[in-house]
Amino acid sequence: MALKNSLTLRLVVSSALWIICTLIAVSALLIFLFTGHIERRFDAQLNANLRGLIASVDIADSGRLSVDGNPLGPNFSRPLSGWYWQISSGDRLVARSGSSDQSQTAPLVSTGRAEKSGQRWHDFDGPKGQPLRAVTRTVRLPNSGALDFLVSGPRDNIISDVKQFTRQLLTTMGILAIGLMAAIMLQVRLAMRPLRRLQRNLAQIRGGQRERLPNQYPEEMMPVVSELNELLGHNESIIEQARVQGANLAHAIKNPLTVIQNEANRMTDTRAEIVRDQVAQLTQSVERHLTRFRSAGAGRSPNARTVVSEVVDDLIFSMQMIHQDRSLTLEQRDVQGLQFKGERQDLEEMLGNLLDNACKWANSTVTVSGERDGDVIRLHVDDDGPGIPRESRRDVLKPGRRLDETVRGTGLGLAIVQDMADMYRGQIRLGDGDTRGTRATLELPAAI
Amino acid sequence: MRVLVVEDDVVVQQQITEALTTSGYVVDAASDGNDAWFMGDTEDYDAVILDLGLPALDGLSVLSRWRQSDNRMPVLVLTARDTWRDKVQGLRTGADDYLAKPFEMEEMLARLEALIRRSTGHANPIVEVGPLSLDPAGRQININGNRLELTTLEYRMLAYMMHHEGNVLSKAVLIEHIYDQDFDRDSNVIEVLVNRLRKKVGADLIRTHRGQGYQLTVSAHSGS
Repeated sequence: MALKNSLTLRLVVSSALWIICTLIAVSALLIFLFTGHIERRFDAQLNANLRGLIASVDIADSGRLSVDGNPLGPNFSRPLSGWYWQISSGDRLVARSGSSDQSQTAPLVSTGRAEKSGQRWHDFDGPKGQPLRAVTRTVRLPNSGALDFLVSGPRDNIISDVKQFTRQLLTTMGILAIGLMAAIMLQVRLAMRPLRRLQRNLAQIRGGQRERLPNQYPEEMMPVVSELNELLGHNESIIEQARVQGANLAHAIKNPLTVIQNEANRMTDTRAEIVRDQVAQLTQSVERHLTRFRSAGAGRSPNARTVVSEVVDDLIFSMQMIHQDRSLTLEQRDVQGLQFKGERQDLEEMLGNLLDNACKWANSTVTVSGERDGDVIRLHVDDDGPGIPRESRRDVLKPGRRLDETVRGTGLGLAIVQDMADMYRGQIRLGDGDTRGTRATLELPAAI
Repeated sequence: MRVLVVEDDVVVQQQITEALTTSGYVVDAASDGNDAWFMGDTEDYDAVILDLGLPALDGLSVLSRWRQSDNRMPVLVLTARDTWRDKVQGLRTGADDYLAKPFEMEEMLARLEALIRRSTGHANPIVEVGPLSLDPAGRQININGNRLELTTLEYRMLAYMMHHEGNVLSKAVLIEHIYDQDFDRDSNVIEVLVNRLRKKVGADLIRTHRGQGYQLTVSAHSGS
């Protein structure tokens, strides 16, 4: 499924990208703020320790400096804990915490000239390469000149706090991202539901179970739905217009043809035969093309469905009228319940021509029967006439072909049936009847 | 036989009228639906040839109005609309047969003849009364297999009487079915025609019912 071809994928991917970017930005900001906060707290603690250290120093009158016990708590007595304090004077160590590396003789940080007052901050690597952060302050005492006070702490503390915070933060953000994505998927699914319903309804229209789209769609889709309905109506009216124009054309052409043919019949000139031939040819092609014209919408009008038995009833009634003198028995079997997916007049035209042929040739009985096979219906027209020789069967489906010139007709019937069946992607077959005569079988799409 | 031809195309109407007249029919013609409806309901026709595409009132409507007022005269529908849809509609509305344009006059005549024959209760394609037989195709009547020489009016009258064998037919009815509309109905031409026919087919086939009319019957022939 290519990105540009799927609305769902497009929505999901774009919102996923947006969510991930936002969450990354938020996480970065939080980590930045948290790191600052931790550093400030660490610095404040170092500062407090520095003040405590300065306060705990006692200087005797002799100028001798003494530190009162272990002023800054147990961290400062644990060896190499990173928590150190020291008091120095220039390059000379005066006193230091119990945690300090006792082999070292120089001050941890050379504070240099202490002309500046107030705290100074130092980041450096202490013993064993441990990264340390320290604060120093130079204090001038009455008896011993300037002393440099230093308190340091391990920067690892900050780093591990930030690391731990980051881990927790990322876990939280991950859960948040998954939750948001699930919500989006759910929303997209819900939003796409009317689209799927639209597709189902359109399929129903194509299948002939529905005429128009229903009006129960979300407001946003209604313009599309009503446009589609308009389009369906427009289609139907075009088909209807084509049929009406076909009928008008038939009328306009056939009256003059009747006149010409009758005049030719009365002429004694041998050339009258040419005129009659031409009229017959013209009649045939007009008939054939009109049929195509009238059926131009065959199979394209999505709503068409036709109850076969109604058509069979009408046609049997008509055949009994038209072939009254032949006193035939017309029967129908198993056509109840069959539905043809197409226009009624097209089925009438196909079945009418087959029945008319059967009635011309039958001795006594013509039978219409039918069956449904999956998505096709098969209609059989059987007569008990002489039958069609195997080698002529293909020929009778061609336009203008008549096996017996003495039976009236234009010789178009079966060719028209074939044309129309083609338009419905159906077919017409001629074969032997059940016992004798001919069986014509029409295979057409079924309406389900 | 009196036939109503309803056709709006002037030339086609002329051709049909000519063919029918030549075959011994009396023809009235109408060119639009309203005229046709009126004429069909007021005159007594033996058959109607009805085109469906008519101005004013279309053929199917005319037909259905006739049938609604219980007018049972046989109707041969003639039309350019040659789909089974149209045929079914026409026949369901009450047409008796259907012929698509362009058509051969011979076929139209044969169908018309068959319609009239069936409407008068003859199942057999050849109408026979005693020694007389009516040849539908050739506008001729045979007696014992020999062709009768008849004038147009004689043919019309004898053919009509053969179709209505056994019925007592009044002068007015006979005039209506064998003469054109503008004929003076008070004259005694019918008596003259009956006398001429009696000479040709034998006096006992045609009985006179005084004050009522004439009857073509075989039983009169054998009974007297």
